[in-house]
Amino acid sequence: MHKLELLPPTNVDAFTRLGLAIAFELDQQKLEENYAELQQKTHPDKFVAADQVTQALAFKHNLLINEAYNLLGNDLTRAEYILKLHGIIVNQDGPEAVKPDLILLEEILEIRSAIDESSDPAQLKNFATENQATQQATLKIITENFQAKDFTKMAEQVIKLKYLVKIAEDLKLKQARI
Amino acid sequence: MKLINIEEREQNEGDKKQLAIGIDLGTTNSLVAYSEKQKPQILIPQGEAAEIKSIISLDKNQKFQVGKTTNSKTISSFKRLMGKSLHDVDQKLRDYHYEFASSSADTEAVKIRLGAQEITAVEASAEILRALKLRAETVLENEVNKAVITVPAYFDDAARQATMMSAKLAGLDVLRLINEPTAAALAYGLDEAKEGYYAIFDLGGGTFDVSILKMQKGVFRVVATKGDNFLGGDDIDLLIAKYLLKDVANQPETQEILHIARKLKEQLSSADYAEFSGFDLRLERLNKIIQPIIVKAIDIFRSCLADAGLAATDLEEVVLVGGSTRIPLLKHELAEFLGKAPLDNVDPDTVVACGAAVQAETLTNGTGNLLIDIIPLSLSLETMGGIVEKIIPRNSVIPISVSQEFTTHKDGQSALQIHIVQGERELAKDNRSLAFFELEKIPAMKAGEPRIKISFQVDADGILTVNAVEQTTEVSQEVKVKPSYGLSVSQMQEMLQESFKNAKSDMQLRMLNKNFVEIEKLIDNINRVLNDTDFKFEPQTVIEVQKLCVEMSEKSHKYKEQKDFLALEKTQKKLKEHLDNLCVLKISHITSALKGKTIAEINELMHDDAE
Repeated sequence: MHKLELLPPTNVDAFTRLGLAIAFELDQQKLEENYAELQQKTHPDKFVAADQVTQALAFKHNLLINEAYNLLGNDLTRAEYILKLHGIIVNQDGPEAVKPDLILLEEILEIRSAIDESSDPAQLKNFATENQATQQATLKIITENFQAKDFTKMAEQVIKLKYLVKIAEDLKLKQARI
Repeated sequence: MKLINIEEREQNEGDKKQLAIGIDLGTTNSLVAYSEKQKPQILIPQGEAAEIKSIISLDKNQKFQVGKTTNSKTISSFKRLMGKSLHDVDQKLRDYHYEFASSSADTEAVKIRLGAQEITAVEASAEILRALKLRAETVLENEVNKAVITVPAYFDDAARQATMMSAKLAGLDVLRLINEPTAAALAYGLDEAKEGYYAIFDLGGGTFDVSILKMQKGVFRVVATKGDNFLGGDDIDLLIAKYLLKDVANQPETQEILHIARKLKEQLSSADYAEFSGFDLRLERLNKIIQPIIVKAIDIFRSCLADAGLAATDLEEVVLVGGSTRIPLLKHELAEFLGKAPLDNVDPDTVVACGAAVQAETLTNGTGNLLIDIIPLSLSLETMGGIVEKIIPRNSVIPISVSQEFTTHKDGQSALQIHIVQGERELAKDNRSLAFFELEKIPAMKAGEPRIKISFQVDADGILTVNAVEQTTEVSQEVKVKPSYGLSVSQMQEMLQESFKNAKSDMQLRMLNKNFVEIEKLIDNINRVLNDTDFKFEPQTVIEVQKLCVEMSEKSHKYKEQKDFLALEKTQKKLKEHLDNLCVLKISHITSALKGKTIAEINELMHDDAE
C-alpha cells in the first residue's frame, strides 16, 4: 500500500520538497539521492493499477518534484528562486523587479559588441573561456553573499549571472554558425 | 476519514489476459516483442523473419499490403514524413524517392502516391502496426490491444501525435510512447543490474539519436538526449547512390540504385570489396563517402555529453543500436573519440523492441524498473519581433508543467494570439511550429489588467497540452488548437470515421463496444462519487451532473447503433472530464481536512481508516 503518497502535496518551497536545506551551495549527491527516492514514490508509472484519485495525486506530486528538481539543478534559477523566497524579484519585467544598474549594463554592452564584431573562431573561443571564468567568479560571490545573508548584493550578482549565461548561449550559437 | 477509491480494479474480467506488447516502429524494419518476468522475446510466426519490412505496396486487387516487395511500386521510409505537411517537406526529403500527391494541401498531412492510390505516413504506419498486432496475436494466441511504441528521441510533438494517431487507426491502445534509445537502455541494463552513466548511440535507417542515461538500482534516468531526424542509413545510401551514378550513362531508377547502394554498404560491413548488380565499391571509397555523416554523428554525441555535463571518460559503456552502427568506420571513429571500443554485443536490430516490451510489462503488471525520461527539444512561445521565449527547456524531466502569465496590450482587447514552437533556434520561424492558439472571450479590461495564465503540460509520452485561465475573473477558457502541422483535425476525424464506417473486422466493432462499456463505467463511477457520504457536493451540482449522465447514457446507445465512433469517443472524454473535476473537488476537500495536522496525525487518521 502506498500510504503517504496518497496525501495531497503540501505547499512547501522547492528545497524542502526535495529534502534539502535552503542554500545556494548545492549538495549534488543528496539532491540526486532524494530525487531518485521521490521518483520511486511518485512516478505515474508506479500507479498504473491504482484508483483514479491516487493516480491524480501521484501525478501532481511528480510534477512538483520535477519542477523543484529542474529549478534547483540550475545555478541561475536556483539563485533567482532563493532571492524570490526572500522577497526579491530579479530578471523579470514588472514594477516589483530589481533593475540592473547602469555600470553593469555598460559592461555587458561592451562584451556584446566585441563579440558581435568578431568572426574569428579563435577569438570567439577566448570570449567563451573568459565568460566561463567570469561566471565561476560570479557564482563564488553569490555563494558568499548568501552565506553573509546579504541578499541585496546577491541580487546584483544574480542579475549579472543572467546576462553572462545569455551571452554564453549566444556565443555558442555564433560559434556553431562559423 | 476515508480516502475514496473510485475505480475498482478489474480483477477477473473473464479468463482472457490483457496482453501488452512492445513495438519498434522503424524506418526500415519493424518488430514486435512481448515480455514476461522481464524476459523480453521477439514475436516471430513460424517460418517468418524476425522483422516486418516497413514498406507498403499494392497487391493484385490494388489493396495496400505490408512488408512485401512486388513488381509494382513500393513506398518506404515514410516514418520520416510523420507529422509533416507538404509545406514542411524540404529539399532533403525531395531528394528522396517519394512521389507526393499534388492534392495535399499545404498544411495537411502530406500524401504519398502509390500507383493509383494515395496514402499518408500516418495511414502507412497504421498498416504496419496492424500487421504487427496480427503477428503478436498469432504467436501469443490471444487478443492484443495494448502496446508501448517506440519513437526516435528527437521526434517532435507533431511526429509523436502522428504516431499516436497511427496506433489508434490500427486499434492499439498506446500505454506509452517511449524513446528508442531509452528502450534500448532498458533492455540492455536489465541483464546485469548496471550502475552509472551509459550512452546509447542509435543510428538507424532514418534517424540518429544519442541518449545519456544514469542507471541506478532499477531507475533508468535519461539525463540528456540529442539527435538528427535526417541522419541514418537512408542518407548513407543516398550518398553512395550519388557516387555510383557519377560516371554511368544509363541512369537506373532511383529506387533501384538505392537498393544497390544498400547492398554494397551491407557487404562492406564485413569485407573490403563489394560487387552487386554491375556496380562495385571498395571499403576505402565507402569510408571517404560516409566520413561527413560519421563526423556529424560524433559531433552531436559530443554536444550531448556537454549538455549532460559529462566527459567521454565518465561513461561506463557506449551501447550501439540500429543497423547502421555495423559500419566499421563508425566503430573505429567512435573508439577514437571515446578512448575505448563501443559495446557492440547487443543485437542492434532487436534491442529496441525488447525494451518496449519490458516497459509494456512494467505498465501492465508492474516490475521494479522505473524509467524517467526528458523532453528532447525546448518548447517556446513566439514573442515580439519573432524571437522565441523558452517555456520548457530541452532535457527537462517529464512529466512537467510550467505556467506563464500574459496580459493584453490594448484596452478592451478580447483575444490574444499565441504561437508555440519547438526547437533550439532563436527565431520562431526557424523552429518547428506546433500550434497557434487564439484565446478568445477575454473579459473587457484596461490594457495590462487581465492576467491570463497559460499552462504547458508535457505528459510522460512527451506530448504537450495547453490550458488557459483568465485569473482575475477565473474564467477558464477552452483553448482552440489549430495545429499548424501534419494532420488537420478534419483529416484525422475523417480517417477515423472512415475506418469505422466500414467496420469490416470484428476488431472495430469490439472497439466500439469497448468505448460504450467504458462510458457506462464512467457514469457508474460518477454516481458513486456523487453519492459518497464523506463529502457532500452542492445539491445543484449533483442534480446537474446526474441529469447529464442520463443524457449521455441515452446518446451513447444511439451512437453505438450508428457506429459513430467519434461521437462515442467525445462522450467518453466529456464524462472523464466531469469525473476528474469531481475528483479535484474531493482532493481539495481532503486537503483542507488535513490542514494543520502533522504527518504523524495524518498517518494515524489514515491508519484508523484502514481498519
